[in-house]
Amino acid sequence: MGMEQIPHNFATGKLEDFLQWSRSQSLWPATFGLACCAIEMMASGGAHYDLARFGMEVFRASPRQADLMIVAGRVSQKMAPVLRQVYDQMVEPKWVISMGVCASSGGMFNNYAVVQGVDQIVPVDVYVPGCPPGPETLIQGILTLKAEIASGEVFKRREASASGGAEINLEMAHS
Amino acid sequence: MTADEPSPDSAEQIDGADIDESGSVQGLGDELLDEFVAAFPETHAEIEHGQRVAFLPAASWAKAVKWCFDRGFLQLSDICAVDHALDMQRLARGSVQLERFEVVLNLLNLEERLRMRLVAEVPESDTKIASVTDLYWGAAFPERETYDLFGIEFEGHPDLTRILLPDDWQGYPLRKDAPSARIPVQFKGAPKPV
Amino acid sequence: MSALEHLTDEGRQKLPPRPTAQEIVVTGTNWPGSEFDDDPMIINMGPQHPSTHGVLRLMCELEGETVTRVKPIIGYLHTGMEKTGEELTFVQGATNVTRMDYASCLFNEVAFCSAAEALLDIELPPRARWIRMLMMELNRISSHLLSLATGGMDIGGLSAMIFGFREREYLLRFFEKVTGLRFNHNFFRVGGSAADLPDGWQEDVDKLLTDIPKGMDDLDQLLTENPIWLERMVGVGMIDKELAVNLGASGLVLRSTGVDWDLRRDMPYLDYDQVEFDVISATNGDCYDRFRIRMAEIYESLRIVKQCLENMPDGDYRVQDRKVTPPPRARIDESMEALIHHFKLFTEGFKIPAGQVYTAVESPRGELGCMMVSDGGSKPVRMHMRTPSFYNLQSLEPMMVGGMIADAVAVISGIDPVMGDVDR
Repeated sequence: MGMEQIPHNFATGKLEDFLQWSRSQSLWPATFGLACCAIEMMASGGAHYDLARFGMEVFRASPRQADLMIVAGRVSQKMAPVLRQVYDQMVEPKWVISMGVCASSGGMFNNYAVVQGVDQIVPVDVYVPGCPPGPETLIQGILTLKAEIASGEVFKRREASASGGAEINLEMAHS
Repeated sequence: MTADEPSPDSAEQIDGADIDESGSVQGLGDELLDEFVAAFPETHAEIEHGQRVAFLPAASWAKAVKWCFDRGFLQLSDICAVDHALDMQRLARGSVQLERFEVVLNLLNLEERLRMRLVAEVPESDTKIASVTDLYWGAAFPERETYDLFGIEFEGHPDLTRILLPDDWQGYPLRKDAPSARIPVQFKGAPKPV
Repeated sequence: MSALEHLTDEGRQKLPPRPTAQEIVVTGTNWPGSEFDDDPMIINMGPQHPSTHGVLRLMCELEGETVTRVKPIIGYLHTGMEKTGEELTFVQGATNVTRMDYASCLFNEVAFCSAAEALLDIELPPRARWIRMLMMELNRISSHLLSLATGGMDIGGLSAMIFGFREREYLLRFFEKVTGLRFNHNFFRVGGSAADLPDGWQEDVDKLLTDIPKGMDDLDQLLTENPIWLERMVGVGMIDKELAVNLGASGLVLRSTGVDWDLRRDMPYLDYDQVEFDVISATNGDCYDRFRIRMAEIYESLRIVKQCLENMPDGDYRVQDRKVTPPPRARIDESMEALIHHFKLFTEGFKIPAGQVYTAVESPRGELGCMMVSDGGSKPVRMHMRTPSFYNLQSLEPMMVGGMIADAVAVISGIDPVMGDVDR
């Protein structure tokens, strides 16, 4: 019982591996530009950095067609419910990149207006540091996310980030 | 441009400009401010860092802004408020009674290339002032912003609602008694204040 | 979770009740006999929309496809910078304000620093002034290129985006070389700049002066006489002179209506009275005029950059005043006093005499002013920025009313609001 009976253009493997590979190779980000980082996000799609090399130049305007949300910029208290709604409109499987220090932790704006970290609202997979992170840093973050998707679980739905904030919010949204 | 001529009768009163007791107007050498103080003797005008400033009580606000509008200051550059809760003992401005809040209006005369700043003193007990939206439509947004952040009510504004913060926000964040940060920055395990 | 108490229902803002609801005639497009015949349609655009340049939200009331009323709803990027600015010393303040209008960061810094310098009554050395002019004009080019790029993308010309970002990247690389960051530089400090221009900056600027016109030719050929571009822009978003002045519009919006007003020429700051440039204005007040002015201003900025390159004076890049300027790095190694001085300057900051001042610069979007009040301490009592986009946004309603809903994106990209500038 060998492989010789199988035609030469035929390969076998786990369905799980195939799923992970296909998911990681074509992430479609939703355009969720908020502030300064959005300009760098656009610059990464521009001619010099050319995000198309990684199969994800298709920025989708509708969250229903996207599976990656790049939160690019500071999230204000007024914007937070909108952000959560956009996240809820995305179909599973979906991932979140928190781009820049403001989205990750509030950054230098520890004041009444800014949410101190977007992980209080949505579960975050990758945090990209910098103020603003250059396109190279964002691309590194995306590659990190790809590696995570390629080695992560296929069926488990992620509900909370490490800080647990988003989980509480989920309960609120459901009640 | 509908720049009106400066009204002739106010110009004549320059000779009697000794009404300002602080004496700050004499020697200003600025025709515009002299005219202004002559028209509104309860105010105090000076040139600070090369800029024309006039301090006035909130009651004179509407008339003073109208005077400037007629004088050719057709564009409103800026409206903002200042909360002086922590520095009530500040620079004396002539005989004008200083209050906790100041509403600051920056006006621009495009024809003569002049700027003018009006500062109204608004007491804490009565945070109301006349709106200037009937003269300057561009005042609609900044007056809403000042209401939003300082709680100063502009009487006569067509739609005085919150603009930057959510509608159900409590309090006025830019007042000095409003805390800035929600989450204090400190080292983990730092001893708690007793 | 304390953060959740502040999460609010954002959809509660409503258009105010219609004053003349009965008088508007429905001009068709509804099915006859429909019970909704008399109801205008309200369309909500944003805050998450790819063509609103950020998080602007517009509530549009429509009769068919014609816009009858518009209400911009802002605040989705409110960052509380004015509150944070009251807690930072004058040394740290520029870090805060530079994140305001993130397409033209250096202008925010200059507005802030010049306000503090006016309160301090200090005069900048010539080289510091010319460095500011050089960097600001390059920043103006990059901001206009960004605006052209996203404006083209909004209307459907994706090539414009590629061209705009390509040229902008050259500028950002120069900024990175000079300031250390691509934007949000914090390069200008009170009393000068953080560092001198790096070695070889002349060659870099010289290269920019040849590279950018080449890219501009591409944009010019692609857009200026493109029939689709003309169809979308000419006669769209008209506003007249008196209204624009009364609404507090400045910059491009004001100049497109025929008001020949530019702070650089009419109220000169720095050394703008020593350079030659033209103020571009138009008369129609439509989107196409604003596009043409934007293109022309890039060439004018290049002229100023060329003059800065030729006339850059030698000398100090920051004022030699012990009060505001830290000692040079080498001195810290050898002098205890210098070390203490340096430490105190960066922890406590320097004190600024009591007073209030308003200074304004001409940013790519209009008059960017800083109203600063000091009580004699090392932190401002009030730091208020008069941001051009905030005021220009008020002219959105007269521009859009009476036009088609499809022109909304063209009008927005003509005004070119940066939401960080609007909401602060």
